[in-house]
Amino acid sequence: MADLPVKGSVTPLASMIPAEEAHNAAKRVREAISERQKELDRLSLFSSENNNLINLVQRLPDELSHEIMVPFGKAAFFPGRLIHTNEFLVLLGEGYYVERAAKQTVDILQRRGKDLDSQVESLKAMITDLDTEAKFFSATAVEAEEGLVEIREDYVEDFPAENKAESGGTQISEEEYARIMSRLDELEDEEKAAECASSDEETDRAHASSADSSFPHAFDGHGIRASLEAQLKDLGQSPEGKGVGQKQAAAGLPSVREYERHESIESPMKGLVDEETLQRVAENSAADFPERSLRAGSDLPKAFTGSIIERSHGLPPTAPDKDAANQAPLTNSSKPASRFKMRRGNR
Amino acid sequence: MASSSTAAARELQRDLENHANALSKIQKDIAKNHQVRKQYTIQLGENELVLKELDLLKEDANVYKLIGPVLVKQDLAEANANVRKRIEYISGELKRLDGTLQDLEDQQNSKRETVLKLQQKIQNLQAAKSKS
Repeated sequence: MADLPVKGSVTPLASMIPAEEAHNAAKRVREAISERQKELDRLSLFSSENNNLINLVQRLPDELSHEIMVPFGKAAFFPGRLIHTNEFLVLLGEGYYVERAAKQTVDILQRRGKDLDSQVESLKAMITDLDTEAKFFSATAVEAEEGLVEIREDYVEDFPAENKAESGGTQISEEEYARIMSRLDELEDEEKAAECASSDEETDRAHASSADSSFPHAFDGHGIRASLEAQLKDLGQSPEGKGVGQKQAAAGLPSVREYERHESIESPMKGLVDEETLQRVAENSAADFPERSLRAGSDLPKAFTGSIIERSHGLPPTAPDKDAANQAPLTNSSKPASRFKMRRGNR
Repeated sequence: MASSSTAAARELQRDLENHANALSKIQKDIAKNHQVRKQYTIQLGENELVLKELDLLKEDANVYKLIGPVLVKQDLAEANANVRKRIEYISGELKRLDGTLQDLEDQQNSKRETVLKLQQKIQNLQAAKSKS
């Protein structure tokens, strides 16, 4: 079990993305941003000019004529009068001009302004995009410099643990395995029977009954008490807490006293092991075999599926030593087997 | 033996130079193509704008076209047709440019490959020479 196969791979980020390259990329992106920024400035200049022109055109026809200084050459002006203030020759582009009144001109200009605005918007969006890109590149560069590593591990689903147990025949002999499996089948049948018996009643009642009476029979809790008590030490507070809660729900007042006892005295905990806690542990140990959904019988009669399997692994106190970091599923499957073996030996 | 290998190396070197020159020429062509394309796209946008405005005009509007230093009065329908034709032409031109650009890029890639191969050959030759 010590020679676990190494799962996944560790690659330093710097080897995949050299810091220098990331820096270069960031620089290039920043250059692109500055280019776009220039374009944006140009466009916003156009836009503001357009707005000024609109204002002017709107004001011009207010009067019949305007006194103006007419430019003459580069530096000279002479006084003049602007007449026909409602006639404009508007350049549409490509050398096409059209005669328009002030109002129509304003319409054209406004359409142009809208076009410009949309262009400005798209440019802005582009710039923000590039900005985030640049930030990402520089962040990557920094990470690569700091020596960040990437850890990759293929996700292996846990529930084909049975197959692994089979393949791990070196640990458990074929015969033993067969015995274990037959015993487990037996247990499951009993569990199902118990469940059937309790399923006629209400869910609450079923809960209570399975907690109080049916379970120990079905599971033969006394047989495994010795091993379970040893395991209890490893268990955190949470399963006990849950057990107490369950009991409170089921039995009411008397349990409160017990709860107090739980609270006040920590050490004689093992002495107080009541059916609930035992059941809890039994469930957990049973649930270690993903295929065996024993706990479903006492918990949720309907749910006999993978979700339970997942939950059994989600419960950290199942066996804290087992969860220790990088242990292979092989451990998971063989551990409960040994427990059952122990039980068989006791009987 | 040594003289023949040096001759081969020189030959290769010349070949490489030729190919490199061709490659740089293609690259220049591509850059030019890009520039022309850009110009055409801008013109296309302008023409489309003009067309939009012309469509919005009423029948009796006076349209002028700037030809050289003079404004020539034009019929609205005529102007409209002209602009449409121009847009068509520009789109066709853009398509053509796309085609040539594709061609040029293919050529560029193949040339680049040959240049790389030649470089490798020369390197191998030099390595062999330094060994012997």
